[in-house]
Amino acid sequence: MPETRDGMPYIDPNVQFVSVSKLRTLNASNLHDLDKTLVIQSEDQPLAVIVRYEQFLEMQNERERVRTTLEMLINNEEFTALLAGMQDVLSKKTKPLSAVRAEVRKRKTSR
Amino acid sequence: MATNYRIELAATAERDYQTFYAKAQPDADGKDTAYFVSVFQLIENALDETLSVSPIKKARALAGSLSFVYRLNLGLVSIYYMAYADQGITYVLHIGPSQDGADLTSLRQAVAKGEAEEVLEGLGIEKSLVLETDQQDWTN
Repeated sequence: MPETRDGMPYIDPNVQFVSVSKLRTLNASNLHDLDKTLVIQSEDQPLAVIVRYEQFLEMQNERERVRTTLEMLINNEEFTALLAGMQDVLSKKTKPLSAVRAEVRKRKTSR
Repeated sequence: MATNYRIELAATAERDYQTFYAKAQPDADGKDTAYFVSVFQLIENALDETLSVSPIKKARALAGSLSFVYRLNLGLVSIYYMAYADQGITYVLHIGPSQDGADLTSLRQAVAKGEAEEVLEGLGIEKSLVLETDQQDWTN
């Protein structure tokens, strides 16, 4: 049984351990209504996990977001630029997009 | 097209925008700038059609405590921004080349050795997610 950081046993009420025979009872209707993660076991050996499709996509998105964040963090140039951008906003060093566009176009025509 | 969000460029993003704009301009030698024209067009379309209309998407948010920052990956370039629905403002923070496919091996090793726990904890990112994040499995 998993434990929390303080050593207390933790029971996740959203996870249900079921036997392989449970698979035979699954149909479109009860899969649609599935609100728990099912761990399919045979003789106490976990074999497979069933989660709702939306939940799987959510997990996949979360991992993708972590990967994106880590890539940004290990790229010094990108991370520094992002921090600088955030600092600009805090210091109110921002400009409307329309003004920036007008400036670059004006500069182009005055060349 | 309905525009719901006013776009403000941080000074850093303004410089980025100016750089991409300058690169997209034909030079005196008539050098081919088609690549940069495409990149700049991607940025312009994203600003007008995404960041000013529907900037808030959970899938674009960074993880953990950086989840208030969004990254729009346009393939060749990425735009980092913050968006506030109540104020109707999108702040563009940085526009730069996309860095997909960075090698996370050394980071994973550091995490496995317990050398990056403080940083991850500060960011609110689960250690297990980093160890399991394998780009070959998740980029396809």
